[in-house]
Amino acid sequence: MTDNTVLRVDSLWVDYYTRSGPIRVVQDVSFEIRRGEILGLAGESGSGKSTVAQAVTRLIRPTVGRMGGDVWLQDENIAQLDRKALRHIKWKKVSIVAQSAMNSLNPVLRIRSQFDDILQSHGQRNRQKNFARMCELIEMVSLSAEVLDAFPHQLSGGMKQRVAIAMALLFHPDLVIMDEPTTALDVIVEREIVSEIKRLQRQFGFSVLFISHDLDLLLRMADRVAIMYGGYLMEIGSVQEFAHPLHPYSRALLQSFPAIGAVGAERRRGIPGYPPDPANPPGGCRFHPRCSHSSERCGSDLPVWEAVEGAGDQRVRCIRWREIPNESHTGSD
Amino acid sequence: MRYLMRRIIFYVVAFVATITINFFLPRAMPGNPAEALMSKFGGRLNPLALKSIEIAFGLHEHEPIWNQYLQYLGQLLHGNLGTSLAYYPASVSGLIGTALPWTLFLVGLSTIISFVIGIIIGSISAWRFGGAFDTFMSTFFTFTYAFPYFWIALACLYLIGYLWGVFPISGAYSMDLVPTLSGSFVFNVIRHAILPSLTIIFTSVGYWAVNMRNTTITTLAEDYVTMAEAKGITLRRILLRYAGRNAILPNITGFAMSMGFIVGGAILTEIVFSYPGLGNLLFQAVQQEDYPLIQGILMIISFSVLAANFVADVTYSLLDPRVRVGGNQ
Amino acid sequence: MSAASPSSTPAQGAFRKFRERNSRILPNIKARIGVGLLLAFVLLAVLAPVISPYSPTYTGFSLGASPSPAHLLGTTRSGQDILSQLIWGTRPSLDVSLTTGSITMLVAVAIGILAGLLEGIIDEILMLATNIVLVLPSIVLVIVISSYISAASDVTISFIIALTSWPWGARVIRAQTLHLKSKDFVKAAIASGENHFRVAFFEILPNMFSLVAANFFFTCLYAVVTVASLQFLGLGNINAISWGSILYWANNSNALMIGAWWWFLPPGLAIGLLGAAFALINFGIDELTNPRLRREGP
Repeated sequence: MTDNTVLRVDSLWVDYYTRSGPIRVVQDVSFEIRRGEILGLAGESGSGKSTVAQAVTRLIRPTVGRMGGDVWLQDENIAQLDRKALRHIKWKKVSIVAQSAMNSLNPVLRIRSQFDDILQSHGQRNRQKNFARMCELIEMVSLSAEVLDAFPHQLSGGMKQRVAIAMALLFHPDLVIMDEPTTALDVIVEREIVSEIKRLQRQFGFSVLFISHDLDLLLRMADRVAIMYGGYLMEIGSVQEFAHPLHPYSRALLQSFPAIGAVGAERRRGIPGYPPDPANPPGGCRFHPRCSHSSERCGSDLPVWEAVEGAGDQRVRCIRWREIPNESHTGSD
Repeated sequence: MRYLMRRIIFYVVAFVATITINFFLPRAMPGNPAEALMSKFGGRLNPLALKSIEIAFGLHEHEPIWNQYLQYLGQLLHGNLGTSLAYYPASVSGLIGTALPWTLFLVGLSTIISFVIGIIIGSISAWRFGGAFDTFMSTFFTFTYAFPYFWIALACLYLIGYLWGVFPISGAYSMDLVPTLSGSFVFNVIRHAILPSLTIIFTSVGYWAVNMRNTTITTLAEDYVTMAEAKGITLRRILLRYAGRNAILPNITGFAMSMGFIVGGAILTEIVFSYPGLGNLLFQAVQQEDYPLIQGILMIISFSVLAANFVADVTYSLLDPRVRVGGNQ
Repeated sequence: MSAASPSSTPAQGAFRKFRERNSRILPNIKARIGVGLLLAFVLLAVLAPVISPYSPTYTGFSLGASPSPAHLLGTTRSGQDILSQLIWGTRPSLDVSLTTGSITMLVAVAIGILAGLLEGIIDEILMLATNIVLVLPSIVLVIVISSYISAASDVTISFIIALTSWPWGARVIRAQTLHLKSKDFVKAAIASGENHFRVAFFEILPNMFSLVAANFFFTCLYAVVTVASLQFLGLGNINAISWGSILYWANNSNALMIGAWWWFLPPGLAIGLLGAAFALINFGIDELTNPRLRREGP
């Protein structure tokens, strides 16, 4: 692993327990995030992308599911750490801005106490210093210090999400995981928050794993993008490389979003069929039942996570990617 | 504050409803019970006591019912609950006044202790969801829940009081003592309270434990608890300030709602231990068909339960800022 | 191992597997034990004339005898065989609790669905009444009412208990009705002009069977204990043979002070076991139908 790598996930898998036994929701997921980079992780709901975020921070409860594989956060393997060591790394090296900031703050504590809980849990007990740090952070996300004395229910959705971002930056972590941080917000607030994240990221140089179902948004803000489907990574590459995606699913996904500037008749084209049922997934490539390029082998052979030679570190999981005519998509570039 | 105002209005309505039920109950019964009563005691009563019974039980058939109701309310407003028949000429309010403190002490304290213990056991059960402790406790409580209070009281009395002779088995203090605030008297009172109190705690603790367990399990699945874990907050803080603080809220509402249920059962315990509280007084009154006393006790117990409910509501509003402080939502 | 700490060592994995399997069967086990117990009591009630060693009312045995091969649970102070009384006492106890459970559920279902379906002012009034009855000390009220009626029959007692214990069920059923009302199939039925009665009976009621059942058994539990309490206090019909009346006579004869445990312990145990049967069935249904109380992800 080079010094330049902040996170390296290797052969990660996750099971959830259900009434009819464990089901695999994430399988053979491997990727890296470099220092100061934004990696966008896209996929439909149920593709396992949020589960990846939870597994990377070891938030899968033993009562709910189990995980395996390696999660290297610089030189420490999060998947193997004991509870105590894990707690000390959490938030200092990796923090999260959750999907629903609405529910991610404790409803009965003031924002200030919630900052205090984090700081004190990590051994910082100087009240004056702590308060100064909170004020600094709150102003950094363009809020006034009065917010600290409020309860979560007194804040708007956008304000809560800003508070969540401020909290995530408390210890200057190397990596911030953002799990659909703008999904619950309206478009205008979403735009504000995204530009706020970009600004802070440039200022402090942390890496971001940005999870979203909105591929278009990811292509606009990320350095590299990964596509997930049915618990597997299907393709990963730089934003430039995604101008000509290799996997049929990536192409279909791109075409299902209206291109920027598209007018009138150019409507989104949906992908026919339904996402796979994790309890009863199709054999072979998970996407083959919906794929317009599928052959007989696609239904029986599981494609490997294959490096695309001569293309940096672009990777794809498709048996037929070489055979499929490389039509450039009529996308945003 | 709007929340508390709404609750206060509710309690006023509930109390008026209770009084009204109390007024109409004997009138709705097949064959007014007071008729029989009058033929039994009538000759012994002075005119004043007679008058108050007539008002309370509706023996003035010729007067319109709303008139009777107003007279009844007037009597209550003056704190006049009538005269006891069994303890004639003692007043009902006087008898209740002597018994009430004992009940507040025994039932009130035991219920609070039971609530606290139940909350602790329920939380531990939830944190160890599906583990040995949880499985044992939820099975055990299925049974404690199902046994009648008075029978647990009998069993306690027999085992600990009769066979082992560890604790006194009846009364609130030894008969040869004169109530004073001396150390020995207080000690004597506590010794007498232990068995009945243990009975109440034993039979009601499962109720709180099971409820707290279930609300904690629900709370542990909330995003803010997961996020607290992600933040590396210490386990102690997560369990107390994130899971516990939130999980206890519905239990306080539950505490208020089941107060009538719990207190009712607890009161029966007094009878077994001849504890000189309201339950025992009610039992005496029922046995001797002392209707004015029965009516008075029902009213005072209802009132106490409503008051306890109100205290629970105030506590709730102190613990939940969404009720206390208004906001955007 | 607390729920707040994820981990994945092999040993914990194996333990977790065990617990996982355990939790899936446990609700079923609870419900099964409950049903088994209940059936045992039903059998006891039905077969009382066959099983019972003596007539429960015959008073010719030696007075206040302790347990012996001839009288497994001894005799009362008036010379009755306690085991026979216990077996015959199953009948009224079962009878009263099931009757009370049924009446209470009928009232609760009617009020709950009515309030949930109609909303508006009728809902407000019904809920106010529900909340008031809810906070009243029900058992005290039951004691007072039954003391006004001298020697109330079992059916009367059932009605009195139902009168004070319907609010719990009504609240839950109203909440469920509101929930179901937001579902498409009910909306469609209402929009297509079906009357409230039809909606209640054909769309809503069939979809909360488990809820009604769970509440029914909970009320039965409450009824067993309450009826026994009343009889213990000497209210209701204490001259008929029932578990509560055995306790009443035991207490009346100072059974405790003469150390006659065989007189007052068995009937209480029977009440508790029947109550536990109802509680187990109630918990079992609850856990099977409430996904949050199952140990399953995601």
